[in-house]
Amino acid sequence: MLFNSVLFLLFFGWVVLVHYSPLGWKSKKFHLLLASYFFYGSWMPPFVLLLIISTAVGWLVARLMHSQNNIRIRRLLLFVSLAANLGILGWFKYGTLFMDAFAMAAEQIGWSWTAPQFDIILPIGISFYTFQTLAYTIDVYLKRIKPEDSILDFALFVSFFPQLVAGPIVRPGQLLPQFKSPQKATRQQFFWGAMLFTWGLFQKSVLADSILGPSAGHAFGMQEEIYMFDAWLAVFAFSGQIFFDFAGYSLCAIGIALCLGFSIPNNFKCPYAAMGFSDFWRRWHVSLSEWLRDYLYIPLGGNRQGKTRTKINLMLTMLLGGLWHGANWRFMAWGGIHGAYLLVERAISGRTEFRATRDLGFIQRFVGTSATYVAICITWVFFAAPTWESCGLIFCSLVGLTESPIAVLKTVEILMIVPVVLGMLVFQWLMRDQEMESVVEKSPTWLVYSVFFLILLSVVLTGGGDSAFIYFQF
Amino acid sequence: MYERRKIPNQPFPRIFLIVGAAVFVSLIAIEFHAKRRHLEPSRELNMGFWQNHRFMLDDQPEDTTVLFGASRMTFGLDLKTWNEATGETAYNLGMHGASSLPMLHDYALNTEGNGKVLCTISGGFTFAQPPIPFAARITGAMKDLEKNRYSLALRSQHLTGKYLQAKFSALNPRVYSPVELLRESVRFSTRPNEIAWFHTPYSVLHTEDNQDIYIDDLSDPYDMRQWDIMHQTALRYMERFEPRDLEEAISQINSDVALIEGRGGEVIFVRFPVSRFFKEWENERFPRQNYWDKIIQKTKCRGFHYLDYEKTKNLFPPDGSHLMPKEARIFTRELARFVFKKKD
Repeated sequence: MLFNSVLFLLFFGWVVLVHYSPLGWKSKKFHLLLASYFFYGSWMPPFVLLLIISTAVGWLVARLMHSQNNIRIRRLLLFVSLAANLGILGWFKYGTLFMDAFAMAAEQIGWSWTAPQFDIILPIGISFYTFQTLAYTIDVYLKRIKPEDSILDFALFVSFFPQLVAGPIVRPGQLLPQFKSPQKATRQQFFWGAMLFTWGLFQKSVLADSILGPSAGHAFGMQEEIYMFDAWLAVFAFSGQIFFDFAGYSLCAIGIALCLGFSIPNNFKCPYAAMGFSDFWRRWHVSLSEWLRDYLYIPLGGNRQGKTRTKINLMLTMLLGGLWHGANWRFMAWGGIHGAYLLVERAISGRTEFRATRDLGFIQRFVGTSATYVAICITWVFFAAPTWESCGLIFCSLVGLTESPIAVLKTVEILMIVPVVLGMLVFQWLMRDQEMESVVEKSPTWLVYSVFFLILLSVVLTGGGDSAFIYFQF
Repeated sequence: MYERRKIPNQPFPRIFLIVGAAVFVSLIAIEFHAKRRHLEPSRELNMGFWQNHRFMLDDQPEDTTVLFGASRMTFGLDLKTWNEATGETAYNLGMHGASSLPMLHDYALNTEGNGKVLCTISGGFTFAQPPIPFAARITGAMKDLEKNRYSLALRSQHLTGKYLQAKFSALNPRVYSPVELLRESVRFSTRPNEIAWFHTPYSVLHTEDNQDIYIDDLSDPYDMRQWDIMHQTALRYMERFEPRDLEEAISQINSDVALIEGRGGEVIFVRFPVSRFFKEWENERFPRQNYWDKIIQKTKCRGFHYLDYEKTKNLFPPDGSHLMPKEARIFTRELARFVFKKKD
């Protein structure tokens, strides 16, 4: 069910009605769970079973683990949980990729093996709820948290519909305690939540889908040499498209949860205003970056085992982080380049990060931020290009290594991309160290009225189309 | 461990209600404006629309006449004229840029249909290989059919489209979306060496029963140029890929035809009029004797080629590929006459 659909509005209207009815808290939680399963099953009903399996395994294993003092049994149980969750993820998401890779490797050594062709359908959002469940199991294994007593609360933690299919990936401590007592939004919270939801929809439907997406899609999909100007503009357009698409979804999720009285942390903190790559990863898809840091990088040894090992750990984390985004080697390349950026940044700065931005002059900050943005945009080519060939063509076009380039962007598209991308960058630059809530609070009320009117009208007039959020596929 | 979100101090309930009311009033005003300008509501033809339309085929009588093809079918066959001429309701499953062959295959395998099946043969699109995005779109939609059969999210699109988009002109994003308004109103000359298939001018309505209708006579040279660029881009794109092997395609068609004929149905191939650069392009790459004639000969199906009939041979699609409503009616009458073998 897309947030930008009438079905969702009807569904959400029903959820709000029941949530604010005089029913008991337990009944409301049960209703939220059923609503979440309905939300997920509205794409493909059988996949609700995966959610239920993931929930059952996570809950049972954590309880058994907690009751055991024998480290070997605890490890075995952890292994069972990891195998079940990663097995499901591996089969549905990476099955075809790995089988094809194996077939190719076999061919290289002269062994003819054809990968069986399974028509595997990727369940939406599987990477998100799998990581959420894994975080819980690992936390219980490491005795950071106690296992959840209530299977209802745990099931709701795994499948809470606002952030189920595209994050933010919430930690047990961020969501489970909120299920312990009745949650109800105040009128002020409810309507602020509704405004965040509308602002998220605007980012998705108007900015990502209507303005930037078609231009980027056309340039990357054309698979021809294009003018250098068009190539750069397409890359910048994609940087905006993916940001507005994903940040828009996160904002919708935060707004919906807030309407029901739940707090979900921010997932984006003006990432294109980042100064350096470690700063970028503290601002882009924060919940995934933190997950990878806490459950992959640190368990691998982090920076505690010497310089070489730190570099290997960092690179491994980024490569796997790239692969998390999809069953394609281009995503891994994307992660690898980000890993390389981080290593270079460490080598240059000699520490884990650059100096605090506020200690730098305007020019230094401007140059540093712009360079970071452009370097990040270059990596988006691996995300946006549908094939390796188109990656190559775009890179050649970016540096002007072309023989007979074409113009893929119409003048009117250029005139839309430039202000939207520039506006995004200026907005993020200005908001770099501020929270949206503080800015809205300081704004004159007439401005809030006007902006909200414009975004709501634009969302309604633009319509939803049938384009899903990009991050659903992850 | 969790933090309550900070809520800014603004009168949000009042803002939300007043803005909500203002947007509602604006929509009513826009709807009135649209009615005064005679702007009709229009459905958006996307894969969701097509898949829902395909699902609804299963609810039609088995002997329903079904139309498969690309945009030439959605533009060129006037459903109202067809229904008047034949006394029956044809079901149009055309989809822009799609090949009719996977549709025929799906009809043969996944339905019990035993009616007449009209399939367009259009050169580039009909024999497009799956790597071509147009072909990939329709094969992807076919592949996802079973997956989406029980998708409430997809099915609900049909209802919201039918009861909102098809009823209110204000919800036609091609007319009132701020972005589209900007695209429509700001005119620039074409860039040198421009190959870009959007934005096409607002010239077409799409109806609930899957028909495209030109509401513009394309006499505006600027609009015409935009259409030309888009179409030339599509052709240029297709040139990069080898077409599907004809013998393999015919073999597939034959097995599909056998299944359909075995149930009492009939497959009829249709060639819509083309003109200008489309005609040159298709004649060069898909010459009649090598494709159309061969298909008709080897499948033993009936075929209606526009060049073979007095009333249709001179029909001239101004954009090169799609008939205007008036010509579509002439073509449809002739085709209906052929299919049902009625006398003049």
